[in-house]
Amino acid sequence: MSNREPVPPDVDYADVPIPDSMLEYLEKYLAAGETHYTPRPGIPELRSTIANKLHESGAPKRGADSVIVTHGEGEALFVTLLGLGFKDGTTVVVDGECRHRRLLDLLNASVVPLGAAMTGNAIAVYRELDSPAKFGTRGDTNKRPTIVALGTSLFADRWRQHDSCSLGAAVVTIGDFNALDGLDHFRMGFVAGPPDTVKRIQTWKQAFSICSAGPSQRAALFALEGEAAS
Amino acid sequence: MTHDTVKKGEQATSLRYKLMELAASRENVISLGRGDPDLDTPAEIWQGALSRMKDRAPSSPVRGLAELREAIARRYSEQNELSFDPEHEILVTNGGQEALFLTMLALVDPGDKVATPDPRYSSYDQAIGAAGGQIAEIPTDLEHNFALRPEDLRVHAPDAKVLVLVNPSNPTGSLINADGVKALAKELKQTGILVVSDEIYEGIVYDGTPIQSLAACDGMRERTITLAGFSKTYAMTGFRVGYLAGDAGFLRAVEALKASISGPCPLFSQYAAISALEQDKAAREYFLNIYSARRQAMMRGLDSMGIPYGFPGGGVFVWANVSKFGLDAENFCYQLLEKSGVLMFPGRSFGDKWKNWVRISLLAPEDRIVEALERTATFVQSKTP
Repeated sequence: MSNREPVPPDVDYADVPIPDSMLEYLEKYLAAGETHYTPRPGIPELRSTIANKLHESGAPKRGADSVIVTHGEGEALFVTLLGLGFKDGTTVVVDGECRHRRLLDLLNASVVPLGAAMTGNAIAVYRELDSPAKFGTRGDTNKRPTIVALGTSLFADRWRQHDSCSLGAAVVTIGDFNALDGLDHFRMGFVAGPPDTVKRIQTWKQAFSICSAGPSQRAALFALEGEAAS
Repeated sequence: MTHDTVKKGEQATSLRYKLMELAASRENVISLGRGDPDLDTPAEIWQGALSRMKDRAPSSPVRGLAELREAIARRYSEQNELSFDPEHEILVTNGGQEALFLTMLALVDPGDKVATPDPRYSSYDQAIGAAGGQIAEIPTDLEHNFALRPEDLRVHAPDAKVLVLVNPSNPTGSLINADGVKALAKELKQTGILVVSDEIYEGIVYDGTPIQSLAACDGMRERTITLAGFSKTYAMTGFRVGYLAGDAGFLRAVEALKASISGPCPLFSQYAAISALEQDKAAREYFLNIYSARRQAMMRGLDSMGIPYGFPGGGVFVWANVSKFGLDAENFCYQLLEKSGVLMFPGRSFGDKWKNWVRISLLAPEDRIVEALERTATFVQSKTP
């Protein structure tokens, strides 16, 4: 066995009922034979919807090819790091708080704060939307890719207009759908960014779990678009 | 991360995807390429999931719902004579691919050798490479129907840390029978090699041959991680449910990774897996009968063209040698697709030296398989010297 230290898992989710209308929507697609692998990056309609939502929130206008659907924000970060060239011991700069610190530790990442002397070889800067760090005021002069972890914020009511400054053209955003009713049971997340970068990340999403569960993707689409998703 | 291993895996996948893209751009292509069952998941399975979701939606532990783990353990006990503690020795994952990737991250340290029979399911290469492992290929051949033999293990992988064994095999369809598995176990017991026994096709074994789990062999339980899932046996690829069964301490390490990366498998998918196990016997018989008929049609067609192939004892693939037609397999596949509208995958995407071999899937209706073979026969007539 690897010498990586086991860490007790600690994940919990709200016990929220699933809306009947969502289940009826799922039934319709399952009955139509949608029980197979989805397109590897995710159902195109869902990816387009995410891209549009990001654009409404301040990101550049992009299409479905700028988005990958994942199993939660954790998987989104994991495949993003691999797509950016992460390997054992790679340095990741963290600007402010990091709710994925346990993942970085398990992967043997060298985590350093922004501005530390040894950040020259880092592959990316990680930031969180709710971090005390102020976006746009602490630029990374080494031009490394910036990963912005939105968590539930993109699909929550508390999106603030000034958050939009975090969604610049070179940024890779990751997040999840857990703010939407019942969606935490479906374990959905996403990666979005420049299509050429997303294409590299996609090879790792596919290598890790092929694609995300089809019913979960449909549930996310329904939660975002309601009856219009039909 | 082992760059060469990762790159090889990416290249192999890319080769298959280029062909699939070409196939998607044409009309009336019969796809015998991908490993995605053409058959839909039986309605009873997803209806069961819908009913459960209406009743309640509890949070799931990272390792999976207790009800599902108990059902998996019960199945092992009844059909494989293996006893697993559902609380500590079973972990539900987002499909077999995630199960293998997490296992490699937890098991392999940089520089470790990971042995695999050659040809191999190359989609695992990136997982091995990401963990820093190096692949040690163990040659197999048609003479021995591509089965891994103890003497091959001894010669080619004496210093491997891990053996990844897919039985029945993807891509060859080879089945190592009970005697063969026991002989491997005897050899493995004399080494320090840990085994990842990928039994994702355990529900698709032909001719009534009993499947032998490696972990059920004397002395192997402690050194074997068994990987399986619902995608192939129950045609549930879209639900993404797999699982690992094995040592509790090892699974705790995998669970820690899973908690940080992807969390629990989606509840709806887990409920569908529980329903599948409730339909177990009927669903298995239904699919096995269909695949058995397709396999017979495939063997008849290949025999009529004089194409050598490995005997498919299980799984959903046939591994065939097309060298007699004067083309390497890659050109054979491109030309067959362009001229006859039949998609097969070239052997090179499953190992460097398989330039004359193709992987053909059984995942199309029987009449379409027959038509694909007729088209192939017309195509090869123009290539026969």
